[in-house]
Amino acid sequence: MRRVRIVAILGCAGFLLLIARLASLQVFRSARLQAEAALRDSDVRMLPAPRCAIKTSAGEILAEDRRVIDLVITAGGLYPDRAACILLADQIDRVRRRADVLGEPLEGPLPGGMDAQALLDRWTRSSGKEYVRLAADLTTAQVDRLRPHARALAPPDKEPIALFKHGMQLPGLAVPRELWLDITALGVTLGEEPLWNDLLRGIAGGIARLRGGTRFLAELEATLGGRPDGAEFPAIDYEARRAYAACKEAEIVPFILSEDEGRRLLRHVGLRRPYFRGVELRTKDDGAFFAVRRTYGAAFTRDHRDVCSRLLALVGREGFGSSALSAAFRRNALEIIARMDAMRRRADAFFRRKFEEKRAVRAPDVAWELAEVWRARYLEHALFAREELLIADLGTYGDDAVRLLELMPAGSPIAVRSRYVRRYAQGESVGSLVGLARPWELTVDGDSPEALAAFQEEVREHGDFLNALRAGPDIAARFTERRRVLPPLRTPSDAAGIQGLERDLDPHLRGMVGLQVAAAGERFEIPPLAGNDAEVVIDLHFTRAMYDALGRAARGAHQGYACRSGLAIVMDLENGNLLCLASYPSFDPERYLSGDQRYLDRLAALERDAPLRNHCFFPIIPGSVFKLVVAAAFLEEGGSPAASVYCKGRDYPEYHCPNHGLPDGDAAWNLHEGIKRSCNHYFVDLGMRRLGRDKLAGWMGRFGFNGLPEWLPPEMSRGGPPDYAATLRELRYYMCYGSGEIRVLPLVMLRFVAAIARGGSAPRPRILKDAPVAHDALPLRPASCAELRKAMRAVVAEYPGTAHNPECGLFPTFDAAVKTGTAELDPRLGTNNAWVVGFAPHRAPRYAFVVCLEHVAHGGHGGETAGPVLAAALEYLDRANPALGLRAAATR
Amino acid sequence: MTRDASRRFTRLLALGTPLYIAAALLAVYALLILYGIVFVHTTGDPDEIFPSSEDLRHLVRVVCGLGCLMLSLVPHWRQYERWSYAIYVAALVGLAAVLVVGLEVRAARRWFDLGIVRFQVSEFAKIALVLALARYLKATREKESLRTCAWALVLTVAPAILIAREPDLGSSLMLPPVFFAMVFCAGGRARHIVGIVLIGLLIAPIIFEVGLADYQKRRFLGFISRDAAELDPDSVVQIERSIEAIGSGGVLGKGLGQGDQQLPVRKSDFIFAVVGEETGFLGAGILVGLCALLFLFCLDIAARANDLFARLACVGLGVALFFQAFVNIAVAMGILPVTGVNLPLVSQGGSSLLTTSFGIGLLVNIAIRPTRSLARPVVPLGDVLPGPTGGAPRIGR
Repeated sequence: MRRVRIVAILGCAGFLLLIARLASLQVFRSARLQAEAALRDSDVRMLPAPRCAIKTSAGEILAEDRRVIDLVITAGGLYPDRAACILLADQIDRVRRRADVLGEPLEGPLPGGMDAQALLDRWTRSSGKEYVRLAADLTTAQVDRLRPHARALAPPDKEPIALFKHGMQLPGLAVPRELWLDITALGVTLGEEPLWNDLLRGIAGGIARLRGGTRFLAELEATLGGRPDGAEFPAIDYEARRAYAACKEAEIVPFILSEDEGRRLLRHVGLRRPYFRGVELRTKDDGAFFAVRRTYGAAFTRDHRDVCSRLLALVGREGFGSSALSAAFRRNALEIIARMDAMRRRADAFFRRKFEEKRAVRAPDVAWELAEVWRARYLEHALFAREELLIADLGTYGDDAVRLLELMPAGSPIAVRSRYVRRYAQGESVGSLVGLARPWELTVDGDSPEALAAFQEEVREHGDFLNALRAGPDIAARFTERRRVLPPLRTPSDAAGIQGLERDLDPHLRGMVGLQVAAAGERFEIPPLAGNDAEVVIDLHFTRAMYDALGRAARGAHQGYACRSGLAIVMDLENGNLLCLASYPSFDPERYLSGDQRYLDRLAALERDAPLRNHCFFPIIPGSVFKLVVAAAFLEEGGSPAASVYCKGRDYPEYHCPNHGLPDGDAAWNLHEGIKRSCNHYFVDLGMRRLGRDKLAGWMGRFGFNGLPEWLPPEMSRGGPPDYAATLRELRYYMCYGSGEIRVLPLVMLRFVAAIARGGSAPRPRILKDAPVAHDALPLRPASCAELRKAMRAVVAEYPGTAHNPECGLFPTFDAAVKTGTAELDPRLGTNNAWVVGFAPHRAPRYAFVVCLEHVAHGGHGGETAGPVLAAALEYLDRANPALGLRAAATR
Repeated sequence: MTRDASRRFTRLLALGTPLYIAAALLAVYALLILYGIVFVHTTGDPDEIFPSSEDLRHLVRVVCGLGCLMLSLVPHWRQYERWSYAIYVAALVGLAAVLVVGLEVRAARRWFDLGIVRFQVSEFAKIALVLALARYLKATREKESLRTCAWALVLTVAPAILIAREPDLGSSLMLPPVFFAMVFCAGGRARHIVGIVLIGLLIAPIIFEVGLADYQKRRFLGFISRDAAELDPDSVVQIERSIEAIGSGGVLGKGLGQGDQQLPVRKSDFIFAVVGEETGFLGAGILVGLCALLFLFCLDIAARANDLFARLACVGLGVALFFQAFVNIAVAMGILPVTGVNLPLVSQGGSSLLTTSFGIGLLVNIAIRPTRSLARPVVPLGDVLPGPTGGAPRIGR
């Protein structure tokens, strides 16, 4: 007894445990679980975020996002059961193959107990035709005579008159011969009443002329409302016909099946309710008749195929033929159809193999069949989850697209998706400056395992995040919360900057994704957040003009000295605004992103000149413009500008001096003359004898020429020269005039020249309007600056200054002070880097500039090749601001 | 437990006269059957009106079950005691036969195809085992000895192994609890039982490694660890969906027929989830309560039975019912891994319904029939034989 009680107590404890668990689930956690259940099959999608624009101060748009509407074939809202659909499709196929009414002609034996009327109804429904009974009890001869009349009225290749002679096939069922009119065969569509009436009238006339038996006429009159002249025909039941059309739209596939087969079919269909629906239709005499309605929204590949085929037919019929839309559609639809067929074949093969494997190992599972279906579902999800692009960028098709959208069947798996496309309207001139952004997933470098891994990791994290969102309540709140913290959420299609300003300003421009939730219980959308517009200070027209000037120079417009690449930078000394940052060659991001193969080939041909990068941000061999640095260092070391060096005025064993060949070539030069003539020997003497390695390297560091200076903002920091104080082991003579290992960042040179122009204090170059205006004091005494300014002016204004030459374009036109530079790159080929740096106007400097042409052919000299480019810049600036006095007094 | 408390408990169990108990048992049985009819219908096609073909099939099963119940009442329970070994041997033969000639469904041989119905022998074996154990434990003299325990274990393990070979691990795991409860109630030593449990736990890893199919291992691992859940997403998803369905039912439920149509195996193994979803805490709680009542009635009948066979049979049947219901409901609520055991009397499934009804009939049989021997009444020898003197019988000599 006692032991029985113990067993009872243990059992009761078990039941109490169950009740407790039940209560915890149903009373305490019910709300959460309810939300989870509601969201299980929900569609939670991130909406792509727009990327903000890059503009100039004048309001020109350099880069912006344009919203694009695409038409896609979706994988369906509810992803489960797609595999089930594939399995089901096979089953249906099997049943259909055996019993499809079209494969089972009327001549065959009828299932028992059905009369001709039921059969006709069935035929009507299954064949998709719609018949109107015109008359009964005709003789064959009558029908034969009637036929031509109707045919004359109907479109060609149609057979509007149908004669059913059931009585002959069905002994025992004495059904008279009947005359039926197939409305659909006539091509009559809804709303075309006149045509319909004409038709009836015509047929009625024909029948009347036949003068059949009185009974036939009476019946005909009854059918036509007693008015053989057709004045008043019975109203057509448009509602009913619309309903019928809708029924066809829903793709009812009818079957003639035995009762048992039908039930089986319905059961199969019932299992996969979301996509197919079994319908049992009853004929008038209660005969059963089965159908499967394929509901749209179904993400079943065969649906894609069907929809594509149907839309294809639709587009063809609706006369889209001539438009671009039709072509695009046709191409894409056919492609998708082919792909879907291939996928389906693959999936079928896969499932079949799985099935065989499973059966082979006799896996004993109670829910085996179900598990198989589920497993297949996961796989199928992986296979088909992608959306297929049907038509990209509907906007370009105008009204055609609108018509197509209107024609699309409601609830079809075709959906409208929006995305953003980056537009770059300003072409090549600012291409390398602005850079480009493209969908993040496309920016991932497939060759770099790390980048790929990072990308996959981020995608996975976001997938997890979405899954977590889907699984719990308060989606909106949690999503908003997540959007607030870094790292930012993004979809793989969100643009990411990979070059130029687009890359540097990426966090600034980038928006935040939105969320779209379409679940059974919830349906809402959190719009994406836009980033911030970026404004740049560059003068777009100026940059474009300079780009053109560089292009002309590159093509050899100046004495035939062609060059491969070049750059031109102009800075406003008031505030450091970089008005022009032209770099040649450049590229058009728009065409680059469009994937135009010919354009890409052209860019590839220019590859060694790096069209994709802005040369203004990379170090270049400076040549003689470096002499300004040596001179400034000499002056700051306390050297006297009057100190003279004797130049023999001819070639030295190691180097060439530009004084060679001049009438007064051999003399003792001071600093002024040295700069004016760009005397190599003078600066070799200064550097090697009077300064030495340590002092020169030290001053270079102080002037900002060692390494990548820290004051450069990220959008201008691409790479710098080495830190010469640390890396330069020995000072060689050629370094004193800027050759050999010496490299200079154009922007640093620009700032140095600006400091000379402004007596030691240089504005910090800036591109972004938001960047602060700052002035840096360089260790240059005003007296040294004045000396250098005077010498630089002499380069233009005095004989034999290196730019004192009409071919340079500066003398006598412009009141500029410059230093030219010619860096020999390859003496055998005679290629040089040609420089002009300086400022204007020379008394009250307003603009500082650096122009450099790289790889100038045939020994082109700095002043002669880069000079005209600078002249073009000054020309433009003078036109824009005549009051500044950029032109020399004599030429004003 | 003090004597007082135990007496009170006894009174609590003793609900009334045997007839009342039997009537209450039958009422609970009827309610559970009703649950079954209702939910087998609502899990079907919601478009179909009540007696759909599926419902009709279930109703036929119910009628057969009632027939079984009636049939089991015909012989006195003593007859079952007498036939118990024969029944047991028949069950073993049946289990062996089903492995050879059984109907193969989804790679498992569990059924005899009897033309119109399929019969699952393992369900029948459960009753057979209860009867055989009860008889053996009653007959043996030394109820506390280890030998008795060992022989009883042999009786249990034989059908369990055969059932596991089908393979149907879930059903074979239903047998050991019956054995433990019966041996315990027969007076077996607790330490023997604990010892067997410990040995069972020790060899469990070996069974896990050798005896289980891959999918069973994956199921188990998936249940104990979320990481391993990837190994068997199906069963994890089944349980998740089931928990969601139950939880989303709330207190009052979504209403009949409003449940999640996508719930897997919703007609049999997870019918409790459907009950929970469609009728909420109220309906599911009542269902659990009914199962508990059924169990308590079994033990109450056991407690009143004066015969050891009857008592043990009641305990065995009660524990079998309890364990099956407990495992099914616990699986549906995510307390145990998926085993594929159905809910007795409620789930769709013919063999289970028939054998459970038979068991209920046996319980009623025991409850309403007095304890008596089927042999002719034993008359004291002295009453019949004439005394040595030939005179009047002498009583109490």
